[in-house]
This record gives sequence, structure tokens and C-alpha cells, in this order.
Amino acid sequence: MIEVKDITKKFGRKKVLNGVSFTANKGEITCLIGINGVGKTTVLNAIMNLTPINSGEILIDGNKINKDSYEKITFIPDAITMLPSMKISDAMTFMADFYNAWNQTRADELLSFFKLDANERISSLSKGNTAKVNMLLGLALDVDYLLMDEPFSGIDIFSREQIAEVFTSHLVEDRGVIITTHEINDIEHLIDKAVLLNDGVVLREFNAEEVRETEGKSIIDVMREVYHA
Amino acid sequence: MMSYLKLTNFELSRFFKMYLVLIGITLVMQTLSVVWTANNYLGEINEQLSSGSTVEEAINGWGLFSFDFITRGFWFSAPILLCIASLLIYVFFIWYRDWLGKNTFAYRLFMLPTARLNVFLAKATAIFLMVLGLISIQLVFLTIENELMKMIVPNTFREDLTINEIINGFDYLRVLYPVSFIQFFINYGIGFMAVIVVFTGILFERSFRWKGIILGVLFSGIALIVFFLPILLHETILNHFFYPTELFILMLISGLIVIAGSIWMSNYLLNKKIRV
Amino acid sequence: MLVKRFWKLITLTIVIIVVLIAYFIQTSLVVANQFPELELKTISGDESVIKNIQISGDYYDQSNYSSAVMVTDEGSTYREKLSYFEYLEATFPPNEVASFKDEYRNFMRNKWMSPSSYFDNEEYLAYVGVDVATERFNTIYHHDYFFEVDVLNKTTNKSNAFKIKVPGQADYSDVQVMDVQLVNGELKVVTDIGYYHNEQHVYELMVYTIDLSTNKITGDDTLLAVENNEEGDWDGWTDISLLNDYRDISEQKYLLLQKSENKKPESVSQESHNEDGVVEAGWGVTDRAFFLYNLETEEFNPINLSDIHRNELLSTDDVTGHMNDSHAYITYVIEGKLKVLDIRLDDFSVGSDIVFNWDELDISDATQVKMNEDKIYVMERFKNYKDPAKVIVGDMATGDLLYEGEIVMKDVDDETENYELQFYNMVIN
Repeated sequence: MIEVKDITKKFGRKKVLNGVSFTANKGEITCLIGINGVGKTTVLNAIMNLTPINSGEILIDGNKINKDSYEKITFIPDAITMLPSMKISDAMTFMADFYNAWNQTRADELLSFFKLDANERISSLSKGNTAKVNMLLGLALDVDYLLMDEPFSGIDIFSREQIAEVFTSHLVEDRGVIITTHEINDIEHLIDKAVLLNDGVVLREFNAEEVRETEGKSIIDVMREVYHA
Repeated sequence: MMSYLKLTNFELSRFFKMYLVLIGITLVMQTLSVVWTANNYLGEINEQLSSGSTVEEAINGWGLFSFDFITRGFWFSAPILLCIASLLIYVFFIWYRDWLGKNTFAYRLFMLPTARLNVFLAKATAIFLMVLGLISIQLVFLTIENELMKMIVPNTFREDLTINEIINGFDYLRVLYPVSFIQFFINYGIGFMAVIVVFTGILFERSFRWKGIILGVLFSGIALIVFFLPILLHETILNHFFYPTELFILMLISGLIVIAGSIWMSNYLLNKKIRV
Repeated sequence: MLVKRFWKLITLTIVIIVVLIAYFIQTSLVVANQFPELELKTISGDESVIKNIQISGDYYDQSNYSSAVMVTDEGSTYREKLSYFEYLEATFPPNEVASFKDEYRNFMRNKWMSPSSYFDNEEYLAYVGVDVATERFNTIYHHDYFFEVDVLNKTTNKSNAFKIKVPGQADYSDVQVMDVQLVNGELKVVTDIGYYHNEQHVYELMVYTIDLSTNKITGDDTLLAVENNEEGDWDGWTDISLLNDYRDISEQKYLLLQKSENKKPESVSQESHNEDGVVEAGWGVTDRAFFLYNLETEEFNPINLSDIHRNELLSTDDVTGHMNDSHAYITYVIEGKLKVLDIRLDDFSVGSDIVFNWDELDISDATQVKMNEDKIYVMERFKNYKDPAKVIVGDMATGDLLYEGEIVMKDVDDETENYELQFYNMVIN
């Protein structure tokens, strides 16, 4: 379980996160939803210790993040994390070199699933293919938790469908996933838990299925309620 | 340890093409300068000989040709200065290239399942190896160029210098190649310390951005003061109390304090304050 | 596999290590062969008398290598060949006070290594240095001179350090300590003072007495003073000098002083100025007077020389003085001979001359003469191609030659025309 406890983050005088708390479980897809602002990405960066927070605490399976955590949790940002000069195969070699959690079989599987050519250079890839490579590098790690920042933004419709397919496959299975998005249309049906953020605070954290069963509302319904109020 | 070596090798690879280009430029420019300078000299000599002078008179007029003629020329020093400038710029670029532009390689580096300090140490080691590498290769080139010069200029017109005499004839080469190993260790130790301090300054900037520049400059200033503290005290309130060896040991200690403090500070910044 | 993966790292490391090792080995070989080994070769006599002498000088090579060098009976040591830390620390070549740095390390901190500032006996090691504080008013400089005194009691290992202003110094432009003596609990500081007075340059040889129980200057005695027209028309000048060996740090009861009158020669040309800009004395000397000053009784006595000696002394410029417990000695070179005048300290009478025949010994005029106890040491200052520097030791009482030797290159093959060796001091321990 990832526990985010009352975290605050300031950029200069501006509070980007103001006492954000939520949890994300293994085996569930948790979606951080916000219609504007930069808070969502900051939360993911904070979980990965890629940006310092001003107060609060983040625990991964009860522990603070340390170097070994990166074998258990990984982050797929909205831009590629490899050097543009590298070939896809170089990037995979690099990952295999540094991560014990690297799963070459799964990497090969993803490569053919996304129909990518390992000899292509990252710099020559289309936007959609770059996003797929980025996804591949994260998904091929045997980690417990996956964080994804806006995996669907700015890419073509076919790539989006392909990426969405990943979520239903064995590639995600029993991992804990946190994704951020500002439009949930493509993936609403996949989401187990939604965390609605606005202006640095959590407006509502709820279990999608529960809300559907007890209140008969979809996530979008809840969003309308919350954000229009 | 393995991650550190892998990262060092990786950092070397990232600059390697550029590095080979620098080496290539050095070799080509210096070789051309040997050929050009030597031929120029021989041209002047031949002109004088053909106008009826004896060999002795020609030598008296133009002097014996030695490698000093070459090292004093612009085309010999230019590539050395180019290499120095490139590496100085790369001390900064080795960090900023991970942030700048489209790629966000800093994400990857800081999400590696290894101590982030290894990234720091690998970058420092890479710079250091590249500096020493250039220094060594330049020595090899000097030897080759010296032999080449001997092939071009006939014995009669030549004063042969050893590598040490060539280095002696040129002030800045002596700084790069001191006679004593301890002096070498001191010169490059201070260089290494400076690189580490600059790295820490860069990490301050990467952690706090604008405010970080001030903190980085402040940190470098403090590092400078700490390093020179023994000398400052010795010259001022202590009234030349120390013997040279004692001062040396104190400077060694203050240098180690600066290096250790910088590494500690960098480790802190990398783990607690860095922003990608 | 590992090699293949890390080939860049491995190659670069190997290149660095191999090249740098080769470079430093080659460099150390070059340094080792840069300077020729010297030795003190005995021609005749008793080698034991040179057991404890150190001859120091400079070596110059045509290709611009130079180094201070020290020669002893065990061979030569070059400064440039010292290890890094020896180079850093050592007073090289070692002088008369260099060994104090090892013996009294704390006492010797921040002290000039000039032997004339030291006094040493069984119980005490005393030091008097000069410190100057300079103030500037527009173009005028004002100097304040201080004696920095430090006296170490060797039995208690306690030192008494204090700073004291040199008295009466409105316009002093130069203050130098020539010798320090400890007499009955009082420090005697022989000081050379220079200043301008009515456009005349004044030199005074003073003895300041410092009481070590109160740390105050309790007396000053002007031994000799001269005024010279520094610029413009001059047709003569007067010199005063302390003839005692200023490098001698042991107890000396008497100061041997010389006052010489110099006349402008008929045709004084530019050449009469040597490299240091000092006017060469010699053919212009019209009078030399010698005095003995007793530091204990503060008595000042002229030495009466015979006419022969006086005349000889007027035609030589190589006059040196020496002192032991019961005698003062004046040496000078005349007609290829070194003459030693022996003056008894009890009645200031001049005994019979002691003569060393330099022509026979093949010694040139450029020499340094030193005395230690009852022996006289002479060395030639220069050595060049195939011309060794001679070293001789003689007995002061009998005039016998005890030792004759020469400084030569150990390896004859090292002899080339491309060097110059110059010796400037001889330390007798």
C-alpha cells in the first residue's frame, strides 16, 4: 500500500499541495484526477522522491522510500526517461543493467505488442511510439507499484487504444497503479479508486465500484458534482 | 560499487565521441604545426644557403631548431586550450544535459536502485578520468611529435630536447606535468576538489533554482575559505606560526574537509532537496 | 564480458596509469642525472679535520638547470634532488642555525634563519630579530623598528619572548642585527644602523644592552659612526665593519672592528663598481684602523700594528677577522700568501705572522677563510671545467698545513664546459 499522509508542497509562496492524503492499494488502479493545476504530477514526483515536500509523509508498504524501493515502485513520467540518442535496444540494455526487477521476456513481449523496432533511435520515434517505449521501460520491470503521469495526453487515438489495452492485460494484473489524468473517458471503466484533486486539496477520495453500487453514480457524475459545486 | 562503475562507464560513453574528436583535433593541429613550423624553418635556411651562406652562418642567423619553436606557436597551444575549455564547460554540462531539452534523463538517474551519490561520484570520476586521459595522451603525442620533428629537420640544424626539457620550456605545461609526483597529486587533487565543489554548487541550483545559485556561490565561497583557512590564519593572527610541512598537512586536512563536506552536502541535496 | 562492457573505462584507466608511470619514472631518472655528484677528494693530510664541514654553493648548467648544493666529506646533496617534504621544510643548504629547527622546534617558529641573530651556549639560546612597521604619508615612509627578542633557557625549556622598540629612531632607514651575545644576564645586540642626516648618510655600529630581568634596554654604546656623502661629489668615503664572523653564534667576549678610509682613485671608471653596485675597495684604501671592544667591560681599544702590516693591509682588499677565547686574528692575502696576524686579547699585542703560501698550493684569490677553534679553513669559491675548488685546513698556532683537498666531480665523464659551480659558505660543526 502507498500511503500519502497530509503532504504539503510550496513552490515559492504558492501552495501546490495543501495537506493531501490518500492511499493506493496493490492490485488496484488509483486515479488522481484534477482538471487543472500541476498538483497531480507533483504528487507522483513526491512519492518517487523526485521533489522535496514541505511537510507530511509518504510510506510505501510502511517504509519511507529508499534506493531499494526503486526495485518495487516505478514511475512513467509524461516524457521519455532515456537519452534521445539511444536505440530502443540500448535503452532496454541500460534498464537490464541497473534493475534486478527488469524482466526481459516481458520487455520483448511488450516490444511486439506495441509493434516497435528495437533498432530505432528514440529521437526518430513518433510521439505515440515514444510514449509506448516509455511505457515499455516501466512495465517491463517486475515492480509492485506503477505510477503513470498522463499516459494518454498528446498522443494519437490508436496509440491510446493500445496503451489502454495494457491495463486490462496480464501486464498490469495484481500491481498497484496510480495514474494521473485530466480526462478519464478512455479509462473510466478501469479505475478502482478515484482521488479528486483541486487547488492542492483532495476534494473526494472514493471507491468507484462502491459509489456505483450505493449511489448509482459513475466517476464522471461524481466529478461533475464535486467540481461544479 | 558495481553501479558506480557502470555509471562511470556510462558517463564516459556519453562524452566519448566528443572526447575522441578533441583528441583528434589535438593530434591533427599539433602534427600540422610540427610540419609547418619545421618546413618554415628549413625554407628560411635553404633560402639563406642558396644565397651563398655557409651552414654555420645560416645556423647563426636562425638558431638551431628545437621543439620549443613548435610549443611556442599558436597551433600547438590552441588544441590544449580547446580541450581545457571543453572539459570546463562539460563540468557544468554533465549535469545540465540531464535536465535540459526534451529528455528527462534525470528521472531515470534518480530512480535507479542505487545510492544517488553514485551518480554524483560517477560524473566526478568521469570528468577526472577524461582530464587525466587528455593529459596522458598529450604526453604520448609530444613524444610522437618530437620524433616527427626529428624526421623532418636534419641533424645539423637541430637541437634535440627530451620530453622534460620541452615541458620545462613552457610554463603552463609544467603546471600540467609537475616533476614530482606529490606535486602532481597536489595540483590534480586541488582540481578534483574544485570539480566536486562546483558539482555541489550545481546541485544547489538544481535543488533551489534561483535561490540555489546564491546558495551555491555561498557554498563555494565557504569551501574556498575553509580550504585556505590554515594559510589565512598563518599569515594573519598566527603570525607565521607553522612550519611548511605543518602547513602542508593542515592544507591537506582542510582540503579533505572541503571534499568530504561537499560530498556530504551533495548527498543530502540529492536525497532530500533535488528536483527533477 | 566485463572487459567488453567496460572497455572505455578500462582502456582510459590503463592509458592513464601506463603513461603517467612512464612519465614519472623518466622524470625521476632525468632529475637523478641532471646534477653531477661532487666529492671532496683528499690530496694530502688528515681527513678527520674535514669530517664535520659542510660547503654550500650553487650549481648552474648551461641549459638553465640550477640548484643549491652542499658538499661534505660524504659527497654532495642538491636541493633539487631533495624529496618533496625535505624541499618544503629544510633550510638548504643548512647554515649554522639550521639544526636548531630540529632541536628546539617550538622556539624556532617564525624566526629568521640568519645566524647573526642568534647566540648559543650551554644554557641559553638567544634570538634577536628586527621587525619593522612601515607607515606611509604620501611619498614619505616612516619606519618603526623593533627588536624581537626571545631567549630560551635550555634547562627549564622556558623562553622569554618580548618585543622592544629600538630607541632614538626618528629617521632610521636601516636597522640590522650583526651579532647577539649574552653577557652576565644581559643581552648585547650589535646593531648596524643607517639613516640620513643633513644630506649625509650616517652609519653607526651600536651595542644595545637589554636587561633580561626587566626586558628593557638599559644601555647603548656607539662603537663607531661615519658620515658619507651619498650622492654628488665625493672624493673619499669611510667604511666601518664588524670583522667577527657574523655567522658564528658562539660566545665571543670581544668585537673586532675595522674602520677604513677610502680615497677616490685617480681615474675612477664605471668598472670600479662590481655587479652589486658596490664600489670595489682596494686601490683606494688610504687607511685601515682596527679596534677591539670588550663586551663585558665596554672598553674600546685600538690595535697598534707595525708599519709593515699597515702598509700590507693598504694594498689588499681581502681582509677578514676571526676570534677565539684568547686571540683575535686578522687575515689578508698578499703576494700569493695568506697572512694571519695574531693579536693577544690580554694586552692587544701582535704576535708573529703565520703565513700560508697560496701560490705553492695553487689557490686563487677568490676564497673564503674561516676559523674554528685553532684551525683555519680556506676554500676556493669557484669550480669550473677541469679546475677543481681547493679546500685547505691549517693550524693557527704552528702554521702547519693539516689538510689539502679539492672538490671534484665523482664521475669524470660529467666534466663538461657547460656548468659553473660557486661556493659561498663553509659551515664547521
